[in-house]
Amino acid sequence: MNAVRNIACPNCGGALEVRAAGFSVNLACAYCGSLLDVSRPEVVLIEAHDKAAKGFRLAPGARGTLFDVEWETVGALRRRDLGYSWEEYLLFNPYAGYRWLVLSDREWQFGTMLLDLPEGNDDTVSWRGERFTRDGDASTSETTAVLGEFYWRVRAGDTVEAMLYERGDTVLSREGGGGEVNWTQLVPVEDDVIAQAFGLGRLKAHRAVREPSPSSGSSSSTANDLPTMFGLACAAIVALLLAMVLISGPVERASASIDAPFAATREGVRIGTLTVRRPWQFVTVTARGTDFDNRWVDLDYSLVDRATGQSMDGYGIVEHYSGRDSDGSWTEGSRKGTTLLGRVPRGTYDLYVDASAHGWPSDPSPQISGWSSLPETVTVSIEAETGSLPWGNWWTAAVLLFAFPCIAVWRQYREENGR
Amino acid sequence: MRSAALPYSTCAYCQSLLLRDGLELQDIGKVAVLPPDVSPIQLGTSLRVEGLTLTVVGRVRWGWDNGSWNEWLLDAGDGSERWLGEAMGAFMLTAARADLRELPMIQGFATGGEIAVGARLTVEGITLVAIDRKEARCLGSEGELPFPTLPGRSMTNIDFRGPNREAVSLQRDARGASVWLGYYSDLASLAPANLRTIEGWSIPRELTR
Amino acid sequence: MTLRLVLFLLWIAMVMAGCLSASYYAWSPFSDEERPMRAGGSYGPTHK
Repeated sequence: MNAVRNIACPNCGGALEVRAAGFSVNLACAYCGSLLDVSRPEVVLIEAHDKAAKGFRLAPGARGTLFDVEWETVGALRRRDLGYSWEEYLLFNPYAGYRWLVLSDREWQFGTMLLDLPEGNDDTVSWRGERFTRDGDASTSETTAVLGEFYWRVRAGDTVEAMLYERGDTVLSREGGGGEVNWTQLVPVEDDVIAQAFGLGRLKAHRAVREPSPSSGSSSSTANDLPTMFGLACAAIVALLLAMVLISGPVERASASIDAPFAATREGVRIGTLTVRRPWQFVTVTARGTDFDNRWVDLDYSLVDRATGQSMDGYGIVEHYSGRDSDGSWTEGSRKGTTLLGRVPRGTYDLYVDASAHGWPSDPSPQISGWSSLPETVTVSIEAETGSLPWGNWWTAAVLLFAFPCIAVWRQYREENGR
Repeated sequence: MRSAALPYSTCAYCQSLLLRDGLELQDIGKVAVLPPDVSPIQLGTSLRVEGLTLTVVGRVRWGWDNGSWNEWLLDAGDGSERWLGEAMGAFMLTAARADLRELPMIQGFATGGEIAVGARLTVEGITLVAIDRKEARCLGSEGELPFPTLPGRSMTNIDFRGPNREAVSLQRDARGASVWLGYYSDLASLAPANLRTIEGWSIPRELTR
Repeated sequence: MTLRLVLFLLWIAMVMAGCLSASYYAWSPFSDEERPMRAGGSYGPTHK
């Protein structure tokens, strides 16, 4: 009696074997990845795909003897939860039934489904007279890739609730989904044993040879660390902001306003006194104008150290323009300008401002300035503060922090789709 | 033809279902050809359980939306009706327990009531939980059988599982309801002999006796 | 823990150390100490 049932994939026509005929109900084609219903004499396409799942350590059909019984690999799954991805292989022997091999983080476990169920609560369970304690929290795992045949209606995207209980090396896994709860006993198996049984190279050596790039995403045992990386990046950028606030302070402010004349520069207007109380601080100067239009004001700031008379200079501008053209009306520029002065050493400073206003396209002539003989000016209020945050630095750090996981995602995507 | 008590028999050559009526054999129709499977059980396989030798004399294959399973009819030589259910590589050995039909839940089921997955049933002090409910139809049969297995025969099957392998299975079809009590087991614990030889596989040592 | 996660942790440490020491020394590449020269040296809207 032939143990293998030969079928053709209705999607790609590939010749396939059903190794556990009569038991298997779903089969993912080895050539195109399409999901087939093999539970009936006629093979029915459930879901067409154009790419088979790849990168499995054990291929369907691989045989090996473990615990004195010969097993044939009939199915392979890749699953993941929030932090990790791992592989599960369904082993079959017509006389012994089904077993599992789980490959997670380069460690193998041999799984047997339990008929006698552990009893207990969420934290500890007893099974065959021994107590097992919960390891970690309940997690939801999702099937991400399917290859080969299964005795249930497996498909990518399936999710299952899992909880693990431990005693020494032995793990009991409790999985619930679709109203049914299954318990599986998992015992560790050395990689050497698996490698010898299935005629594979050893996993660690295999990694070293085949995988020079450390961040290769499709390695048989790469944990899915991307969510962790994005989480770390978020945490780091928030922590960085808090630390920058702490380092930058204390804050001190001074403000005044200045009337900027046209065609001339008003020089040396003193805005106020600021004291830098740390060895080094940032000083920002914010200029705000109100209601002017088609004007710009150049601002030169001098932060003069009272003790030494030395000056630190900065430059700012406020500008606003509007007009109409064939596209309608437009405005441009900002009536607010912020100037950042860095490397300001400890000391007491006077802030002086030089300001000159300009009109666009040309300065307003004195005639248009109305009945008053006073020359027109643009009033700009100036506020200076110490201990301000260098936002440019923070954004740069954010870009650098997120670039790393983004590149990892891109590499993984390219690797998974490019081969 | 081991048991004269079983009224139906499937002809291994022509797929005819024969009804034994006294000395007469009546051809009442054709059963479906059994789809190929890799079951280790065959007609003639024997099990040794609790001092009894159980011999497989017939098989019905049932299909449902998400798969199929085998039920092997066992002859213990004592006239009792026992079945070996085979699904997903595991086995369930059960015997008829007509007395359990008196339980209110089962009475309700027998008269057309529903039992939801997750329902609890207490039998002899053990609480069992309904783990699945299937609408099954007969896919084929072989050997000797207590009921006709013509295409189109269908039934409702509910499996209950206890904490320590205990199994109860309820079946309901046009003839009425039946209750089966037993336990889940792996093949080795059933001490099988005369297993089917499957090409490409050797029978593990622990299963030979 | 994967190798790239270790590398990423080192990277985070580097970026944070860099940013925090820049904060301490009040250094930024985005400070406005010099008058920026616009293209063509002219002012006014760049609107066309």
